[in-house]
Amino acid sequence: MHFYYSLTGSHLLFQSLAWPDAPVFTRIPAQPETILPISKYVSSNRDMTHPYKSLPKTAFWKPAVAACNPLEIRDLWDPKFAVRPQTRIATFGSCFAQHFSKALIKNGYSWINAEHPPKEFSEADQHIFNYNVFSARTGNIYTASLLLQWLLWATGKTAPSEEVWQKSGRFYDPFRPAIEPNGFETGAEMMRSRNVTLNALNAIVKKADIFVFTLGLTESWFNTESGVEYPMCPGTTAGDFDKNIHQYVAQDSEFVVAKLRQAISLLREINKNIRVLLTVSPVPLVATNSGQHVLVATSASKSILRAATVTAVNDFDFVDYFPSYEIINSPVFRGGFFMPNLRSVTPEGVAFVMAEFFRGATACATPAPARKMPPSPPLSDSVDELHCDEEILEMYAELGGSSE
Amino acid sequence: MPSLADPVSNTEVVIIGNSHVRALSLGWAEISGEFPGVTIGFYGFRGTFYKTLVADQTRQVLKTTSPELQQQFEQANGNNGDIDFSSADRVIVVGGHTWWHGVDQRLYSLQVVNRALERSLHQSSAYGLFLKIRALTSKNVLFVHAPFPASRQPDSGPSALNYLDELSVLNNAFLSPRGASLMPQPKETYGETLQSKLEYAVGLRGFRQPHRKKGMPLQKIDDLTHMNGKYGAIVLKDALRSGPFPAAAQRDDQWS
Repeated sequence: MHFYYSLTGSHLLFQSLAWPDAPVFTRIPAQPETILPISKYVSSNRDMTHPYKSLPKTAFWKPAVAACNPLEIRDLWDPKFAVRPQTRIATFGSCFAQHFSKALIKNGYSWINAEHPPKEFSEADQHIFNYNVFSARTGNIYTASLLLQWLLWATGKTAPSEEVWQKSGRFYDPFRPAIEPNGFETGAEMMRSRNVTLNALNAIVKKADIFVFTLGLTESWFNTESGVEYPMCPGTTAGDFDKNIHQYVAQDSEFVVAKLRQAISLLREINKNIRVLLTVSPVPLVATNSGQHVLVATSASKSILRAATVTAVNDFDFVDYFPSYEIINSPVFRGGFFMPNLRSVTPEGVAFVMAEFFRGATACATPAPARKMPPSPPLSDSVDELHCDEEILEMYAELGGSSE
Repeated sequence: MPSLADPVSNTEVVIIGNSHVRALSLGWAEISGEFPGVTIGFYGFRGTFYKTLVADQTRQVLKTTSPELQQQFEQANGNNGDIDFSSADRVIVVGGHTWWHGVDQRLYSLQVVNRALERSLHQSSAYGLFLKIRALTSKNVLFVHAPFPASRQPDSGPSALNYLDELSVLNNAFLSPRGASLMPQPKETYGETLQSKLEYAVGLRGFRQPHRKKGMPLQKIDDLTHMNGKYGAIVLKDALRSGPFPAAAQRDDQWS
């Protein structure tokens, strides 16, 4: 296969042609214009008025995207509300949410951390024991329904599950299965630890100015007897899979929107001033149980999540969306922000996303008196150190997943 | 190992440490009559003088690189100011341990607490000294941590509730397998919080000079960090009478 390109402005047009003798990346001569130039069309409709006449440049693909160096594309986010360095920001969600906390700290923003490690802990210890990853040690919260479950437990609206998983004499939290290496000493210790996290989450919601939540997945696992949702399929990270009670649920758009609405409403009920910033993780699924190809399932999952954020942003004036997903996944960037596994996001991609976040935040923010904040712990920004519980699923592919 | 409680035993003890060695030295003057067979060499100096100590592998001694200290040690103990462990029956390291406290065990799992304890130990200068001693000898080492500071508000400090549990973890999980142990501060010297009783503090010491405004009187300050000979005597008795040290296990490599 050989690739040909023509130049239209700065835009590369790739064409796939089967031409064995042709050199790779040969330029195609410019084609004669077959469409009436826009200027002629506009001039013939000079007096006509319509909304597109007054739109900014960012509303038009050619000047905002096609004519730009991809790395110089700007103004992807126009914040609904100010994000200042002294704004108290909590972060939760899927793996990608961890980039937010690291970048916030690095840039001197006020990231809320309600579960501090012992001061003696090294950075490696903090990583192993999941401290300073999210604002509380919830582990990954992949779905809107899981966020709602955490919030209901933290606020005492529903009683937390007392389910405990046991393996080789150790005790695991079904809702944070990888929160501690080798689990806990006893079931009681596990429950006590989770209560610490629930209390921390409750405190965070009460004092946060902005709650950043990164939606990651729509595929989920529920317990049909208790109704609880697990972040991971039982039997993968810990626990035992029981097909009679562990049910796979492919969350559809209606389900996600409903749970997201409830979670956001609950946040606002606890803290009437809280604002919510939603993002969708650009990271594809590690594995799917949908029966579809994982690439197709990823597209379906992300589409549902993205659509849900649109609804939430439209429904609530205190909810905004930050386009992490688009920045990484847009064809404009030609997959260049992904690692060779085409799943993990490169440090450059993360930096680009977060630069856009801070650019938007800075543009929106107006000066305000500084609030003295406690120093935040230094965090590594290595992508290799992300906590992604679901990556355990990759192991099952290597252990002989079906090729069909 | 001879029993140190036995007055006829001929036992040599090496005590190395920071400024808190002085309390033990003063205490020894009071109680040495109870231990007629015991000889103690005191090697103490303020701050982190440990850092000046280097192991002389050829002569199997610890030497200080500070001429002043060498002179001081020589005057006190002879032996050219070197610290020789070859004839020592017991080695005691005093102070230099950043005592770990303030971690609320209700907030953390046992794994986290243990890891924090281990890190605390590793970060202490006493640990660094231990490594130097271990380079020369596998003899058992007893750690005596710095005393809890005394306070005029005896109930204001962190609770002592978990103190012995924490020590137990340190001893069982980390020190005992390496032929060492950490001695708890004698119970009679502190109360319900991790603060030494005021009666054991050194008391008034000097004047606070820095940042004094012109015309203002000099202010006497209390030394509530260092303890007196009465305290030293109690600690030293405990240290000398403590049961046989844990057998030196073959795990010295883990300290390196």
